[in-house]
Amino acid sequence: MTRTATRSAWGTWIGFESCPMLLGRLVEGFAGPWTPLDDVPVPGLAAAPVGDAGDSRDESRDKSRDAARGDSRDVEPGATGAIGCVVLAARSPADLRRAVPLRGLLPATTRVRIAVADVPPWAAQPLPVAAPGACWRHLTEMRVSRRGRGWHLDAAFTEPVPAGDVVAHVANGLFGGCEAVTPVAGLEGGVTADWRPGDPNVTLTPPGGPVPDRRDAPGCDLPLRRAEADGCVLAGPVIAGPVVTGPAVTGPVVTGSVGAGPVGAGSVGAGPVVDRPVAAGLPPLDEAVVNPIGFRRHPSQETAALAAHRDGFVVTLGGSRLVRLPASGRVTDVDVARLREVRGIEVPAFDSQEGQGRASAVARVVAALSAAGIPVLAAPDPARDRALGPALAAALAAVTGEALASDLRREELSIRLRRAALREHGAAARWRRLALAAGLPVPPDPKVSILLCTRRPEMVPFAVEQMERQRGVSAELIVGLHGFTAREAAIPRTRLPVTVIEAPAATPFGEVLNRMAAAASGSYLAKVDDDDWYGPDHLADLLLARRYSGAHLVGSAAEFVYLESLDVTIRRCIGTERFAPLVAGGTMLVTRAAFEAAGGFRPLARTVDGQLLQAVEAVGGRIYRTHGLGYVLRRRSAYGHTWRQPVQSFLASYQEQWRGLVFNELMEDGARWRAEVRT
Amino acid sequence: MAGGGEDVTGAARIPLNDYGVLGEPPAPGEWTPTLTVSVVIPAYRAERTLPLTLASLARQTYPAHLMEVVVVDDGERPMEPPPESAAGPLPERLRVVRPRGGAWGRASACAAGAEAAQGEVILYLDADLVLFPEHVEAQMRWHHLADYLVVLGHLRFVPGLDEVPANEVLAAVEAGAVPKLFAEQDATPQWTERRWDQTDDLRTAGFGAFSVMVGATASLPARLLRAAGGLDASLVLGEDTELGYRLAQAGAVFVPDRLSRCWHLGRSTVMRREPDVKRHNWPHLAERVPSFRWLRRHPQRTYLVPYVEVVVEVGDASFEEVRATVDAVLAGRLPDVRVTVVGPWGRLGGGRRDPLGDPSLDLRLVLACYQGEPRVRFREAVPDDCFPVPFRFHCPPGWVPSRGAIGSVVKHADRQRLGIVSLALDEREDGRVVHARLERTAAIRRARHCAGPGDDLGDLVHEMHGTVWDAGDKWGFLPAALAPTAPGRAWTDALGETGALGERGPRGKAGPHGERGALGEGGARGDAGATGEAGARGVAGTARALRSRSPRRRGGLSLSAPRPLRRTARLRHTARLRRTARRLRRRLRALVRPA
Repeated sequence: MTRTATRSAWGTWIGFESCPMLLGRLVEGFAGPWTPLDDVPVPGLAAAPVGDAGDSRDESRDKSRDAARGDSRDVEPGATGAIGCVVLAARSPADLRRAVPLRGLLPATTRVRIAVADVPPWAAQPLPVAAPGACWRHLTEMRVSRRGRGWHLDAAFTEPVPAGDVVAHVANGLFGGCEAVTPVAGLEGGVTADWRPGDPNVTLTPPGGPVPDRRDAPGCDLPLRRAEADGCVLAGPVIAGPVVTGPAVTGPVVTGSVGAGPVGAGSVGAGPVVDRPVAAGLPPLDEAVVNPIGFRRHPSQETAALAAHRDGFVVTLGGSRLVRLPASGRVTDVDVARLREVRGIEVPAFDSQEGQGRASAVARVVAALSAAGIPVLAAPDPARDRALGPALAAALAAVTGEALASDLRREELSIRLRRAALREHGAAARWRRLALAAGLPVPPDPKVSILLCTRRPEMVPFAVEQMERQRGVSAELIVGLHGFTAREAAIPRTRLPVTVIEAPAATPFGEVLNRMAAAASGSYLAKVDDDDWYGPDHLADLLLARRYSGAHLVGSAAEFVYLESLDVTIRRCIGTERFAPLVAGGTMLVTRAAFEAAGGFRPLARTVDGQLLQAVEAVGGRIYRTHGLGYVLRRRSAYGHTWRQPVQSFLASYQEQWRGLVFNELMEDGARWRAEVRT
Repeated sequence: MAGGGEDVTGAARIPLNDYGVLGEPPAPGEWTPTLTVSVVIPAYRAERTLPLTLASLARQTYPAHLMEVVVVDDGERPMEPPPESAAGPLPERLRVVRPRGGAWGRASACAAGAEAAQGEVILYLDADLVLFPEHVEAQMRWHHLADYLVVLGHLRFVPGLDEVPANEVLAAVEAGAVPKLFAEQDATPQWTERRWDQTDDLRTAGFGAFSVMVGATASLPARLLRAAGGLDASLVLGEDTELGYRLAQAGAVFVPDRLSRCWHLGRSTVMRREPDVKRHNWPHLAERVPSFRWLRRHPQRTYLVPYVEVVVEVGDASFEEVRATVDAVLAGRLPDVRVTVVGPWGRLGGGRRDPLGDPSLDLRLVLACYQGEPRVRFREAVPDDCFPVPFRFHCPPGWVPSRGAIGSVVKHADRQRLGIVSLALDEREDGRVVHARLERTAAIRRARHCAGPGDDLGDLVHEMHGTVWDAGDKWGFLPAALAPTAPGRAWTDALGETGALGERGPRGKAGPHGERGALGEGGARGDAGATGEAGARGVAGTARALRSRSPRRRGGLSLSAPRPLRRTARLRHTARLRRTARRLRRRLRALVRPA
């Protein structure tokens, strides 16, 4: 290793398409040259000289690549010899996540500098979470410092380490242990990285080339090809949208049905690989960054508007420009943070003459805004709505200007939009569907074990019905009868598998819950109360919140409370869609791992919920509080409940009040549920 | 309605003064009237204009068989019948009555007219108006939509008969050309019209709508007038405003109708002598209209009609609890309150009894305690409402409002336009919530008016005015045992009777009455700080403390005894500060003038 080589630095950026000026002064002591990470080619299998004749189908891309190489020929990542310093500039945490699947493109080096230009206020700090035995054993010094609205991380090592690993570990620290998305994908670099944000377990493939094998295993389950590589895309003209080819593995192979709509189930047969590509539609949303975290219930600004600007988009409010979006329509968490205060965003129907590309870029923006919970007032646009899918298009159609004027109605619409967007376009859901379409086996839906413990036999039918109406989850019901036996209580018929645990009245409440948890088989435990009302999407929303927050325990706020003794429903002022130490006890959903790590419930008669929350936090778990519109707490008039707060304290701070038992629209109550009040 | 038959209009539920829920009234001439109307015209020195008014009444589109006209001759001497030739047409059914027994003035005349009137609706008219043909019909169409409306006509002031000859006016009336008699731009609008404009014709005026009630042309159901108590004959001027106030308290809705037009010949007294009219009316209205808060700026005095009636139901509370509540109310910053203590007073006989062992001793003490207090009265039962007092506040004994509490709750109810504000204070073991409640008389009366069989009064109030629950401690309500400077404690403590509040034990030891001056002072001092302190302790704690009947530990020791000590300590502290300041000043002076 020569001295000059160790001193040389190689800089790459990701996410600055719409604001290239930012790059200039971002990293102190590094003036360039900069290489766009999207354009760094995936090296071929035989370490062929990159970018010569292999892939020169894109003039501009080649040019920029040539320029990058020309300026820093010594430190070309493909070149032999270590590089002194690798600088990665990411515009937002979202862009840092997009860099993770491309980590193989970053060379080994003894110094890694990561600059994140801008972070949303709720983002965590970029502290790397190290995997054991990885590069960190060579660490000599690390500095994490706040710079302006962003962060800089500077790590020095005694030996050259793969800079990509450092990036992956920092992203892991920022977002917590997000679950892996299956199946294992093969990517071609560049824009295909949009499809697996934050996933370090991908295999990079040279464009058009074969997927490199891993040790004793095929490189991936499902390769993703750039659309340009294949003229066989039916979903519109060729844009940067990739297509999925059939699985490259030998074994059951699929004839992917080709079409713009949802992909039908392929017929499985033992034939050769069919390379008819499947149009994959919009790139999926990265739930970890484009999500409702930070949603504002009482926005301070009016409705903004989306407009075309050069080849990209802008969101304007009055005369001011709130955010600029690239032509691809990619939205990051930083963009979302800037749009948090607007009441909604109007999206006009864009001129169809501008081509299919525009429509799908707009669709991508709309999907992202919807997933972020920012209500979108969209003018009808068939091309865009086709790309969005029927569920999201229907949710969009329900949004009206008048509805947005009321904060509660706006939140209801926002929740419907985010559900549809995340379920349709979220990375996990999308890959699951792609895998199904390709005929790959998919893991079963995670099962939720509902822990329902009651001391009151008369409440059992009501509580079971509340769980019966849950939809969009696979669940089992563990009913704990505390102080009575199954013979004394009529457990109604239900489609859910039911396990009944009986415990004598003398057993502490926490102990009963622990016994119930031991009998549970699901990967999530959800504790519910016997006298509260749950909206039909309560559990599904909690699972969704768990996916995008990455928290170990999620719950709702007890925002809506029915005060039985006063016959009044109030909405309390509780901050939601944020990480918080407390959630309503009747809404806790915890991963089995976190539950066990926290030691389960304490064997106490009261306050077991609060103790579990404290324990989860104490062992390093994160707690997330999602919206409270799917839950109504019943504050009974009679004494003798496990937890009690004086009725007047509920009234001390409320933001809205209704006479009688009143449900918001997401509760989807029928007269049946209302009649149950007087039990 | 007096007309009999099925009463359907009573069911129309109008929120606040927003009569828009009734929909558009039918256009004149396109509906079938059924209600009878009595037009009542008080006439005083109106010999020249009255014939014109009567002539325009004879040319009304409203069916003549449904309309009678009652002229109340309020002159010193009975009116001369007008010379037949000069008189225009007269309404078909016309009567002239005289007020009884020397009564005089507009109010008496209006009262006498209403008494004589037989119609279901009474329409008051001034004797110097020339009505447009639809005037009566336009007002009457509203009364067919709901039976608690006060409909106000629309008038413009035009030059008097000195400038326009009477026969010219008469000719126009007979020719059906009243609208063309004067040019719109020459006419002066009434002062109330600006309020109409500002409030979407009073739809958004809320509780203040009554203040534009002017008797020149206004109609209302006779039953509503009776329910509100008729006109106050003790007033000489301003009686229409006062009536408007009482109608509002009776639940009435005020509807201005711009189609019910008329010309007012000559200028009104208000226009000519506004300062004099105000000077005359304001002292009268201050006594009778508590909602005009700007007329009641005095910090202490009371008035004919109080602003808030506070009801304290004795129940099984102790003398000390009742007294703590009543004293706190009387010490409040709202002076025009009346306290009604409700208890079985009739049970107390005057017979021979054991003075200290009497089972009804607490009741006797409550009665004895406020003998000389004009703001406290005793009743056997809680009346339906406290009309014409605008607010009633129920406060359970043993709970003490802070000095500003009741006033701020009333303000809250006005600002949020609420009918009932309930304040949860405590929750009992049986699930009953101890609460205080503010009721707006107008809301209760209207709800009762609209209620059908089986309707819940609370639901109706909620629908039309809104009801809300809130936390008592947020508004400054504390249990008496924890309100450290409850007035009245000062003298009981001085007598060594500590901890009597909330405790039945030492009730026999009640001492003689102390001076009120000392009470007032005790209440005035340290109120804010002490309330905040106790409030921070949390209501759960205070509630529990109230239930556990062992206040000995706390007693007067910690709460009242240190007070004077603390005060002297503060004095000592200020003395020290003053000394330091003097020293500093001396040093500074030395610095400025060193040489």
